[in-house]
Amino acid sequence: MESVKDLLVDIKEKSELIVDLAYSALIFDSEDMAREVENLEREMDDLVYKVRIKTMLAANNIKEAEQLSGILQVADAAKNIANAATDIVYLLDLDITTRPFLPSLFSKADEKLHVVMVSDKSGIVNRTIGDLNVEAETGVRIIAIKRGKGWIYDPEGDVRIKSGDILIIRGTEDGYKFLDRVARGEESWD
Amino acid sequence: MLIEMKNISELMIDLAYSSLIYNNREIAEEVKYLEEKIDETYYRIQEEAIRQAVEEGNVSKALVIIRLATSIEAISDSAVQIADVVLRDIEPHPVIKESIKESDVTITLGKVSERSVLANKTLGELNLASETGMWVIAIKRKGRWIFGPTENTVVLPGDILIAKGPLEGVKHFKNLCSGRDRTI
Repeated sequence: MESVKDLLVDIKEKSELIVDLAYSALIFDSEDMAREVENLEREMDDLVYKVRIKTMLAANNIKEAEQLSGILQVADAAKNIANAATDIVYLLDLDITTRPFLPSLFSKADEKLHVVMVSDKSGIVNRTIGDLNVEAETGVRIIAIKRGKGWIYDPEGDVRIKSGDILIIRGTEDGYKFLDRVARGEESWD
Repeated sequence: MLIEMKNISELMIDLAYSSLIYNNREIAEEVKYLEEKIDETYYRIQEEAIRQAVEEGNVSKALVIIRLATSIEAISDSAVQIADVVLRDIEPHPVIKESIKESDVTITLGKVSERSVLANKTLGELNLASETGMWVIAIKRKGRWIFGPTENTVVLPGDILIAKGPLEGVKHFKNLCSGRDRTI
């Protein structure tokens, strides 16, 4: 079984990803992404349960119990974040006629979530995310990739970028602009 | 207003996790302060949405907006819950700090000194994200927050920059702020 530390790393990262994906689901009006948010919430429940059990087993005295209760509180808060993110995607279950303005609420003014299309001319085609070291190089994080009809969520370092991929990214305006030029093939990566 | 609320709630989460890394009460208090901003905005959004619904005789838009604002409010409450761990007078368990540091992305703060190479330049000119991997997500200036700094935002001496990025970028970023490192 994983250590409390590994579980907490996972919990923290999922709590951030799930919020990004929830807003993205609204912006792209994507049922598919909404289902992924629900999956993540279930995974989160499971992780938090594991942390709870492990933490309870670890307390030997009052002082330790006090310190360990902080771990439970953080895990619980992350779970609350996941619940709130899931409530956000439940909005997509409403009849479309009652929510036509929803995608535009965030998409126009959101400075953080962007979409980038990868052209076949781009220098990043066929390179892995890890090899490109995207996050360290650009300050931009790829939170999901739309490939054909499917999605890859929270892609790992070994995922290769393909021509025609649509990248959903989170990051600053300048990081986005750079990546966008590279993805169009107008600028080289290196 | 909804976007402002979303931006504040995201900053709160970032700050809350970073307060745990540094066991820093000041950052944790900041999260609590931002929660007050959220509550004010939440109230104004509800009021505005209901007023419009009455004027236009249509409830569905108001309903969607209020539900969304309620979720964002819940997210910011969770941030307070995280920061609260620091505000108790018990040192947080070391495993919390380690796990957050080990995460892909970390958050750091840097105070810009008079002699920092960052001072009096725009974020666009500095291009910090591409050069160091650290991107500035918010700036605290004379007690006020700039939530979504753009490439035209000028960094001033005395600013506290909140930046997000890989752990390897933190030291260089802090040294750039303090003026110890002279090249980006």
